[in-house]
Amino acid sequence: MQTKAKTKKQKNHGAAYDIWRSLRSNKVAVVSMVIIGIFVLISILADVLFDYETQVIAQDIMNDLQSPSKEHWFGTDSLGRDYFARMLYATRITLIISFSSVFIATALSIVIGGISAYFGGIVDTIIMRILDVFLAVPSTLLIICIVVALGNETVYIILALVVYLLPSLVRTVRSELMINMENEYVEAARSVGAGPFRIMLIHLLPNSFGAIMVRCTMSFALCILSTACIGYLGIGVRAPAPEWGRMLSEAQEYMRLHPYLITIPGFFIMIASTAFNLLGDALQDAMDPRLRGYRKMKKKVFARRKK
Amino acid sequence: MWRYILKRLLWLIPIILGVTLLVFALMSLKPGDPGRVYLGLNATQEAVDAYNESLGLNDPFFVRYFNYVKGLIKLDFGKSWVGGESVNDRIMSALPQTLKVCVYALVVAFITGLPIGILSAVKQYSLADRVLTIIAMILACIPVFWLCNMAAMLFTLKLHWLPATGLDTWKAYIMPVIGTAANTIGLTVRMSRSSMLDEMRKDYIRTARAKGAKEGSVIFKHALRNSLISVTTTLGVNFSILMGGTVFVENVYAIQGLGTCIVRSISNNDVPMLSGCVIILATFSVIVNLLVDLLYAYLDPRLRAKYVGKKKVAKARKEALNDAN
Amino acid sequence: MENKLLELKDVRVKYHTLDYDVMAVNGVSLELNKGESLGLVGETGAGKTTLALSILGLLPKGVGEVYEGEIIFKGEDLLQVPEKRMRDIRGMHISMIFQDPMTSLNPVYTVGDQIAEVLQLHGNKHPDERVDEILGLVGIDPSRKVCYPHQFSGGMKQRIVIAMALACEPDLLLADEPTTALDVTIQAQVLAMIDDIQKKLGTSMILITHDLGVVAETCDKVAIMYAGEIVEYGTLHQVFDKTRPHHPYTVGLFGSIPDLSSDKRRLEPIYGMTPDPSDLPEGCYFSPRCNHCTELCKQKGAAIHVSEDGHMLKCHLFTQENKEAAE
Repeated sequence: MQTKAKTKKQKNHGAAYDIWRSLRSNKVAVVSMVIIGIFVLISILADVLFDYETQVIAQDIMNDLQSPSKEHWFGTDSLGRDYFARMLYATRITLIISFSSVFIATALSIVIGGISAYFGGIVDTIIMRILDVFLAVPSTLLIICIVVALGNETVYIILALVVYLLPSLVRTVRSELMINMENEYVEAARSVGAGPFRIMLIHLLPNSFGAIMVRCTMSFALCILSTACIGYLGIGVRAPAPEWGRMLSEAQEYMRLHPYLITIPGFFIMIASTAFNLLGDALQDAMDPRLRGYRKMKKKVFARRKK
Repeated sequence: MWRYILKRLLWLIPIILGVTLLVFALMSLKPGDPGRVYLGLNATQEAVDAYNESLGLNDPFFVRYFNYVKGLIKLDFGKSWVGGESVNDRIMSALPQTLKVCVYALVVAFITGLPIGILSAVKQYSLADRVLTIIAMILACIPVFWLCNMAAMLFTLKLHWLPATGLDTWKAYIMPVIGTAANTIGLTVRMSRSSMLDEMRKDYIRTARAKGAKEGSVIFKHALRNSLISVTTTLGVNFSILMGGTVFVENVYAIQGLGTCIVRSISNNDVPMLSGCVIILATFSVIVNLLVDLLYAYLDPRLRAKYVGKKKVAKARKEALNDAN
Repeated sequence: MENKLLELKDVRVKYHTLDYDVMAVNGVSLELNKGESLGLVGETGAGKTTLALSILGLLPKGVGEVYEGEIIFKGEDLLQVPEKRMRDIRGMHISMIFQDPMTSLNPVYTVGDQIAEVLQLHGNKHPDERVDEILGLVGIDPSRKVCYPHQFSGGMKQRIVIAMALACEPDLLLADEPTTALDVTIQAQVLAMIDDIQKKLGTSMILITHDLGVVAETCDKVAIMYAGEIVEYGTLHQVFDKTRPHHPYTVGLFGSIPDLSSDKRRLEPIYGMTPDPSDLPEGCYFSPRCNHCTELCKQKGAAIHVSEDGHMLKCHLFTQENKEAAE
């Protein structure tokens, strides 16, 4: 953490504060964070706004395929269920699955990446080769295989997503740790008797935090997309629970006459994953100290005297 | 250089073997009953059991795996659990469609993504850059099945410009190829933009400018050549993503490729078919990655020199010593 | 007058960042004649590199800006000329070599190609002969021009950078700490080579360094820079002459050099730190660290005093003394 010495004009600023300020001043980042905030809010409030049993699952064939109206903001689906309510609950399910997967994958990757980076040598090679095998299978197919093999309970979906996310997260953690291990403060810590765990936890990880965070946000976006993908294929979250991908696939038959059924879930998927990716990008920009100055000036000529 | 190629070729084998083991192990977790599927609901339990026995389903895991790999070496992927047809035949007929779409998509992604990324990097913070970055991001995040459906709605249902099924005419290729490529276009734009930005901040660019080089030369001759190296490495990953996407694209556009096979075998619970398709696609992915690695080694003189033969290294070292004296 | 190659008049440069402006160069005036070499000495952050980049118009786009002053090279104000003319000047009339040879060369082109590039950019269609010649001049076997930069050591890379800079025989060479990143033994070699070539080709040079020893070996004139200003300027003899009055910072710099012949056991560092260019002190920028600081120093920026033989000092001490002496 860098701290500036207090002067007349400036206060004590840490690196985290600088990153926050950079994010705050970045319009795109702010929009992304707002969108993510809205999604989280939706997930939390879904219960409050709509009762699951009566409005999300219960079928009402009489009312089926209604276009969006004041009563049903997003219309109703082929079984008469209120689409808006279903979308809200689907948001919650997707976010929960994604969050769990990213959390577990990050924790695991820190352990595995840590082992790999710290011990190096043959341990590192073996771990990397195993990950290579997982990476060799195209990601969507890997998830499909795991879910087909184990079943599409939520646990297994999360497991599949964790396996999907692990290789790139481990790579990130490992390379960050390796870069930071080269730094002299590690030698300094070792020379005063710090053991490997202490070095890892107190010195190396906090410095790698930024890069890991960026990877996490991007992984979140990947989870959202992947959950929708397997949902679309019918092997994702089980009916009758609403899920964006499956809702989209069910809507395909009605595409011609009721386009809203297919447009809305796709839109949500796109917005959600875009928001997370944009946030990840903005975080990456915010962490790069060189970029902070460039934003102010828009002139494109080499520095000359102002005419 | 040859040692590098050889080393990479040798690694192919354990990785492909690893993939087969992974897929096979996963699939064996799934309780399957091909006998019942093949013989129907009316068959007796004994007949079903006998059939299953004949397929070797009751053998221990490694025996089954060993037999499977033996078959693979002979390029025999086994028999489908649905209808007993040879998995090979189905793969052979389906593979060309899938490969065509994927390769075209990769080319399209690269040809459009790279120039746009460069433009975006060169005109950083301009309106064009901001707009293009956001579009690229959206493209990278758009769910492929949704994009394909939307495109079909617009271009087939509303405008009647393009056919929505099969690959019969050249027009039929447009939507599948662009649909498959869409995510990759977005990724390529972002990758090439960030790589160009990184290179343009490096010291040797300042040296080039100090020599009096024109801005165009600085960008295309100096920065781009270096940035291509990192962009190339993503080609391999992108091909992998493309292949994953075919599952959805072929589904929407009713293309008889491996993707459709996979979808069908999921719903039919047809393990050999699913395994075969996945392994084939994974193998292609690995091969493309290898080719990309070789291309990368060719482009980067630092890597080229690393794998140069021992004799040359000794010679260069001698020269360096002489120079230093 | 025809002898004057470069003249800087009250040049001021600032960098724009997110919150504040960094005042990197605050009114520098210099003159350089043909064939002369000027040592620009100062601590890290004094603004030396910024000044050199400003001369060539290589400040980072959109961030660095020369907002005041004139840079007159052979009669032209470089701040007013169009970009095309600047490109002609770069590499051909004014060249620059940078501090870190490890990253200054493009890794994907051979060194021969990179040297040939500067020749081709300035009209030489058949550069091969000249490339061989210039490589020989810097002490590298011309047959190695097909090698890539990573195949050379640090010292050799710097020689290649020097070869690129001198290939078109420029009038002025800006050398930004060319030997700081090198081993001491290689340093001596490279410096000797620069000095030799400079004398041979008659190139003027601005050598930026923080090492007074280097200045003593190679330069005719010395300018001491602090917080973006030139606080002392004169010939080598004038600045290194212990009997003359000097700027307190200069005294501090010399005092920080270990002297084998003296009995003193402790070095005398200058207390305090270089001021933050985004938050410069009021009055004289050196006042917080100066032993001779007075009230006047804290309030007003130092005045310039030039002795009869051209030795310039920017300090109230000398103008005050003069005033007192006059009274």
